[in-house]
Formats: sequence, structure tokens, C-alpha cells
Amino acid sequence: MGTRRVYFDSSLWVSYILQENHKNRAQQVQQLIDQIKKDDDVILVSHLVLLEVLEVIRKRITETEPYTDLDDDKKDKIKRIIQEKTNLFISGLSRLVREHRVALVNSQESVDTWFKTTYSIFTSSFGDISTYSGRGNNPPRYRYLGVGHYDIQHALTAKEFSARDLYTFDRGFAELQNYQEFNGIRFVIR
Amino acid sequence: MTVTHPAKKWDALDKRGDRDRILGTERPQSGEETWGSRELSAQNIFLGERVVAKMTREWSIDPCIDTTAPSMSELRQEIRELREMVRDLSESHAALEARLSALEEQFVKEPVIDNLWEISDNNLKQLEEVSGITRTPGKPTEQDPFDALKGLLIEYSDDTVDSVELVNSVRGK
Repeated sequence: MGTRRVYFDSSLWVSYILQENHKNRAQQVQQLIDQIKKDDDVILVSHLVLLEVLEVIRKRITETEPYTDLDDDKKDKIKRIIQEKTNLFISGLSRLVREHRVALVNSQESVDTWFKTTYSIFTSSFGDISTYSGRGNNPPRYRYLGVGHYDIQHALTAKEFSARDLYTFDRGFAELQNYQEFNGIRFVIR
Repeated sequence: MTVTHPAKKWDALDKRGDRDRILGTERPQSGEETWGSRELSAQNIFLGERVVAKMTREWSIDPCIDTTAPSMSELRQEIRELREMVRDLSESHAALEARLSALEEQFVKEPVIDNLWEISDNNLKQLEEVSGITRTPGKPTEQDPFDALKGLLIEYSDDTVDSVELVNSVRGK
């Protein structure tokens, strides 16, 4: 048996690049990375994770930019920053992949099989319905809580590449633990 | 082990013409009564009824059942043989189940994809081509690549940042 493999959900990468304080998450990621380095484990990064992180970078930079006005110069400025940060992220990730500390993976299944499996798992689960209070005078409303198709696809990739653990901060993954398809994977939800 | 169905046994007797002799229902062969002509005479129908009546009397069986019953000893033998077959099949089934379970267990434990680095290196090459970012020529940097990613967006962070919410926003949740 080769090197152990672990799958990082996008939330860990986002927490790491933003150095999130909430629940000491960035610190938890750092400890995890230190342990992985020590054990010589490999982190799996899927195309899906890469795209999600790049999209968060775009949204976060755009939405935290202090408002002045909105013209072409402003848009160009924001785009430049986004491009610069995107390039830095891809460069850092590429180095990790080149040094075989991170593996950049994508499913080897056909698109047809991939979606059929995702659909099968999605339709056989429902999650739960809860309520939340409306703001002000608004009445309470219902909220659907359950596993999403992206969650399933992350877990399927982790399974396909024999990840021992799937680390995430997203509690939505908890439901997947009970599925036979994911036997052998430990979902570590913090 | 070969078990011959009772009906097949009678078929074999038919081929030799022995059943008619056993049952006393021998009939003359004529061109009009061949299967080729597909003609069934009144005499033939009468003959069939006689066979059923004879069997019903001799073996006390239901005349509605359209088969010729074997003797009790033959039936006992058939039952013994079938029971043996069922037992053999059960044993084979259990052995196959055990083998399947072992394979499934192994499948879960062992890495399925062994060419991990081949896939990863290929994906990296494609990423570099698409992004236009290639490795920087010259002296390699001393900085750990994990550290290069750490806090990459720290100037866009604050105490309200929630990584799960940010990721959910791009997952359409």
C-alpha cells in the first residue's frame, strides 16, 4: 500500500488562504498540514476544489473592495487584483503538485457514469427541513438542509482516488457517511 | 450429476416406441396421422382418452394433469437427487458469497488508482497550459509552497469570514 491520501474540501483551502479566525479553523488547517508533512501523506485536490477556490477568490475580492464608484477603471482594477491573486494561488498549488505533495485529480469515470452515480445518491437522500426566523416583522420560514450534488461529487472523487479521510468544515457532508458508496472513507467534519 | 426429468424419460421411450407397448396403446402407423400432415383423427382423440382413463385407474392420478406419472420409487429417487443438487448449490452459493465479500473488502482497502502521479502530472501540465502560468526560470524559491498559500487573501479577511458560507455561496446553496 502506497502513501496515504487525504482529500481537502474547498472550505479548508478557503480558510487557509483567508486565515479564518472563526472556530480557529485556519489554525486547525495548519495543524493538519503539519501532520501531513510529517507523515508524508498526500493531499488530493480535485478540479472541482480548484474551481470553487478560484471562484471564492473572485467573489471575495470583488465584494470586499471599498466602494467609490463603478466605471471601467474600477472594474479593471478589481480584475487585475483577482488575476494577480489567482496566479499566485495556481503557482503555489502547481509547486505542491510538482513536488508530489499534492495530487491534482479528476474523475476517470465517464461523464455519463459520473452523473448517474451522483443522481442516484442525490435522489435517495433528502436531508431535513427546519425553520428560521424572518427578520423584523417577517414570519418564520422553512429551510431545506441536505446534501448537495457538489458535496456528492467531492466525496465520489475522494473515494475514486482512495482517500483515507475527507476533511471539511461543512456539516452537509455528515449525511454521506451513511452511504455504502463511501465505505472506507472517514469524513472528518470540524 | 445428471437428473433426468420424468417427461424426458417418457420421450426416450417414445422414440423407441416402448411407451405404447408399456401402456398398451399401440396404434398402426399411417400416413394420415403423421405430424407432418397435422391431421388428428377421431380415432386418435379416442386413443388419447383411453390412455388417460387407463392411467387414472391404475395410478389414481388426477386426469386433468397432462403428464405421465413415474412410479413412486422413481419419484423418491428424483427427490433424493434434487435434494442433493440443492445442497450442492447451497454450498457453491456460500463459497461464492465468501469470495465476493473478500474481494469487496479488498476493493475498499486497496488503492484502486495506482497511476495517481501520472494523472496528477498530466493535469498539472494542462493547468499550466490553460492558465499560462509556467514554472519561474532561475533559482528556485526557498519558501515552502504551503506558506506561499497561507494568508494569500488575508487583506480580504476579517472576523466575520466563514469559509463554509463562502464555499456554499459558489455551490449555489
